[in-house]
Amino acid sequence: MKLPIRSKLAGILSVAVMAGGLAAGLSSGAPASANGGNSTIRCETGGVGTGGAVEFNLEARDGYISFPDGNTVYTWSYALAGAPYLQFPGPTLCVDEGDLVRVNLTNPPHGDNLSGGIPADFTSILFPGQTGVTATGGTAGLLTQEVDAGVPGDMVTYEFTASAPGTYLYESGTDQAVQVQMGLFGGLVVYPSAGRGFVYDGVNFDTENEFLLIFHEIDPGLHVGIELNSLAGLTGDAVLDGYDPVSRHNRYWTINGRSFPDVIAPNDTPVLPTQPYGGLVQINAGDPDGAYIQLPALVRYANAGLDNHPFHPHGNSLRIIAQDARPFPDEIEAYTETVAAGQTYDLLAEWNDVEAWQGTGAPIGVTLPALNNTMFKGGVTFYSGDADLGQQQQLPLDVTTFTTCGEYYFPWHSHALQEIQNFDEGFGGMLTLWRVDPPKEFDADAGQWLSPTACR
Amino acid sequence: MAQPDGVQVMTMSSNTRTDGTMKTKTTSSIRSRIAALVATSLLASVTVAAATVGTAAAATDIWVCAKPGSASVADPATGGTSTMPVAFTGFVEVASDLDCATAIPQLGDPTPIRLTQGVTYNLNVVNQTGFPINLTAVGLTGAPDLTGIADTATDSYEVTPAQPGTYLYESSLDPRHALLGLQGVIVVDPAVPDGTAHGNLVSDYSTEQVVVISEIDLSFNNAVDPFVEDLRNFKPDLYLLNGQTHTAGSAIPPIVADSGERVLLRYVNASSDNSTMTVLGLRQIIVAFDGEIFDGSGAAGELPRNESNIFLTAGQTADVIVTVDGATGDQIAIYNRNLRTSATDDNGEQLLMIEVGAVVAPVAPDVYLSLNNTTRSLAGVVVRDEDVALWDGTTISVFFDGESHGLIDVAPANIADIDAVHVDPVSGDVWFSLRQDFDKPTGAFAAEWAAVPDVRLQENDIFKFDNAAGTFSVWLDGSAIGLSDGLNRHDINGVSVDPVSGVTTFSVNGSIITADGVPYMTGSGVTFGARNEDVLRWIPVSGAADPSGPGQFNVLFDGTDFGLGVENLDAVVISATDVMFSLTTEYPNIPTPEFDRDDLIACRGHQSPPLGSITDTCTAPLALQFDADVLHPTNAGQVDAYSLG
Repeated sequence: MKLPIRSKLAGILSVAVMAGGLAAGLSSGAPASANGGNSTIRCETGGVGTGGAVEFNLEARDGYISFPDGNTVYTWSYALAGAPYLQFPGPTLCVDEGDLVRVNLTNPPHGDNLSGGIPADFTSILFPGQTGVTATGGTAGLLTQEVDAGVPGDMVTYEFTASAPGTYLYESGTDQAVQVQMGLFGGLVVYPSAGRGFVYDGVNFDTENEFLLIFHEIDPGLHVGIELNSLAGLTGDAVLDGYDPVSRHNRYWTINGRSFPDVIAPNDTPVLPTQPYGGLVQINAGDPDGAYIQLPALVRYANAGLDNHPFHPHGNSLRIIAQDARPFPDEIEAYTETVAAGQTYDLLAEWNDVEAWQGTGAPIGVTLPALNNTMFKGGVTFYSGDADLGQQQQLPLDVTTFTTCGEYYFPWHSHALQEIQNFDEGFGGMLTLWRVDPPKEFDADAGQWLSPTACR
Repeated sequence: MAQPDGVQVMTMSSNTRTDGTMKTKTTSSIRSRIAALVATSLLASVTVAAATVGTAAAATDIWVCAKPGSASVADPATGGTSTMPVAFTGFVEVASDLDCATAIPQLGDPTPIRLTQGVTYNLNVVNQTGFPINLTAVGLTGAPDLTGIADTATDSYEVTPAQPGTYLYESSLDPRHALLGLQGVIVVDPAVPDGTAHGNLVSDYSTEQVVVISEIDLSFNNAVDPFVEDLRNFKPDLYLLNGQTHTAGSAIPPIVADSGERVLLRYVNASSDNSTMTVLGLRQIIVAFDGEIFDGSGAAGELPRNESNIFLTAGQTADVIVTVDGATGDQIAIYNRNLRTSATDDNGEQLLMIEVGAVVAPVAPDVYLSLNNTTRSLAGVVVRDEDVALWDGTTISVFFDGESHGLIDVAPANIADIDAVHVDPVSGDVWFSLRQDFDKPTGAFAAEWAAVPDVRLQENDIFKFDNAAGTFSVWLDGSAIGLSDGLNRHDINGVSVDPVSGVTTFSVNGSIITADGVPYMTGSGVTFGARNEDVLRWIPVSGAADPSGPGQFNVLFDGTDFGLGVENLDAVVISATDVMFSLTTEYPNIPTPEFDRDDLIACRGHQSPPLGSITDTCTAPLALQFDADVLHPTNAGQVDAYSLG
């Protein structure tokens, strides 16, 4: 085992990572720029395999992730084969209805990289919600064929036909109580035959505003216990010794593997190399003149955790259209939905003339206090200085605002409120923001409707 | 109806749908006090008193003992190589109180107390726990019993279950009671046993399994006196399905079911936490939560009926159907996705397998049919168009003889021809509609038709023949629900009925949109339009109690999605998963296999279009359900009504 050397190296790098991680949300200005480089779903589309299959090569990997309070946590997850780091959650696999999907899973040996395979006896992947999944290779386990983690090159191939569109998870099917908690999960999206602008046939959305929010929670005690055992050279079931699941006590709650405020940093922020997926939900308000039909944003929830999480946005209701990739007979307008462990939900988010903002109604018309009578805690704010969408006004000189074009920000979070903290530091944890930009405008140069220039 | 002591017995009525039970409080309290006073020596006589009350009220006695028990649970921490002793207090059903001495309660017992909808029971509880308890059947019991049953006493609760389903019962006098194990399951079967959980098609099943979700805190349960334990310290360390743990070396015995079987899982969350039950690789169709039916009518706010993960709050029950699909020996995992465990190398302790037994080819159901305006000799049996014939796969017989009920042709004005039929194979009840109007039978037949008010039976009505009573009634008055504009009536030419929910699925002859495109078909003020290649569904608000009352239409099956335009559906059969129909003409575009005009064609796994989608779907190409050639190969086109049994 080369774990000790690798882990020390990782530890050193993680310190730098966590410092950057804390800064990511708070000091890089606007959380994400509109329409590009933001937190929209980032699909892995796979290659073309034999038989026309959409083929993904995944590795089970270990490595480190960081949290806004400065902590670094040893984690297991998946990565595309050959990737320099694990990624947490695993790669988001996107396929189309009717595709033959093939996933090859290996557990690579530890090399000189930051991370290698996981020090377990076996590991595997389940595809809950899929029917007719076949698994070939490896060793028969309780729920599926498993990769022998100690045998280099051992591989299991999972195949299924993506028969029903919607949002799914994939996750370890081996010693799930530990391996799923350690982070072996990812998202799977099946687009309907109508195309990638649709969530189900007949239900389309703004493809610039599609988001996948994967929930999870972490007890660092489990992770540290396994890290220390693996540093001591233990493998297999022995690496799990010393952790009592009955005493599981979560300290971090994550959206797409990050805790707030890291959640609102954009995709692929360089300061979070093992946590590439952002979670800021960003939409454009509807065009009050009706010249441009603003389609709703699509938000996909997927709870990969072991706990149930009541999750809701502030500021507006949502249109809940499906659960577990099965459309409701009629959509439900609601805002809080308890996303049970393993469940997924599909929701449409819109902002149309809510509270008669400047659109077709009168401006909100709030009388603002004089600047010298206002203060902002910490000297930073998500407030633009004006109550109306798209308007920016002066703020006190020593105040930094994260707004760029008078956009609105609302919390969107677990309402199990102990979950929106990072080891007792709040706000944090399973919390993101809902960014509402002004309506799109027609950009004559680009020949299309785009967010206002100031928002981009 | 009054009991001897004057206590009113609550029976099923319109305002007791979810509250159809009550404790015979006055009697019980007095009995309890007496019992407490005289203690154990008079237990038998107290029992007699309770039984006497039961007899007087014509109630069926159920006996339940509450007493301490001990269990031995596979210890997940050792991978199941050792067991953990668990002390608990539980309920156990017995034949009579005399059996309590020897009865042994089971931890997390999935064996339900089985009741029948609409029947009145005395739930007699013999308390041998050492402390006062009560019995609260969540969703069944009315006012809570705050007095309870003293230790060594026996008391009785009167229950008349108003609706079928799965219910949790427990002792609720103290929060410790349920944690100690004083919980159990009541299953209420439909009033008419028909192989379903709720009397509707979607709850049809062949195998059932109660799955009780619970947990144990060993330090609490095994304490010398749990009643002095501090509940703030309650923290489970064993997580159970049906009183057992799944461990690496010790599996919970599997549910054995054949491939293709519909397995009814009755989840009962008797734990103090919310749980999420997953079936790997199979979809779970939700039939009911807490005994309340999901009818799939698409009402706003209704939850989906088809999930991977069923979220059950503490105390909740759910009835779900899974259709087993696999090869012999396959193991299909049912587990709590909250993955609760006390062992590290574990998948979670709450895991149970469905083991696939045989792979059985589906048995072709019996076929009920009626002919179109003709009399034929089918396999040597003369069948008229006012009859309903039964084909059991080998022979044909007349199941419902129209002439013997007054449906006798008097040419030319009065021709009786059944052109839509639905048969309940258990009760033998027949629902039908006629091809054209017909004078109501009189004379010798007047009595059996007395409940039908019309002088002339109309083609847009659906009549019900009650097989037990031998009488006819109007099931659905087509004119009352808008199948008429006053001038033109729409002949109902295919029907399928859900006798419990009253949901009636049918097709009509001719378009029901007027020539200028103005829809005139209205139900409860809702303007509605569809055409003769569609299958329509009528959902009455009051269910089977008043199928012709207020309700709502929708299109269940849009023929246009299957290449049907000018064609006319003339038989409709609905199963739990399929929509089946026949046509008055040959199927257009001649797919393979070719469908004749009197064949029954099936859309398997039919899904109505969700949300904004415009297309109905089947899980397979349209298939031949029944080939009428087996009856009479040279006379295609003579069958105009089908029902399957």
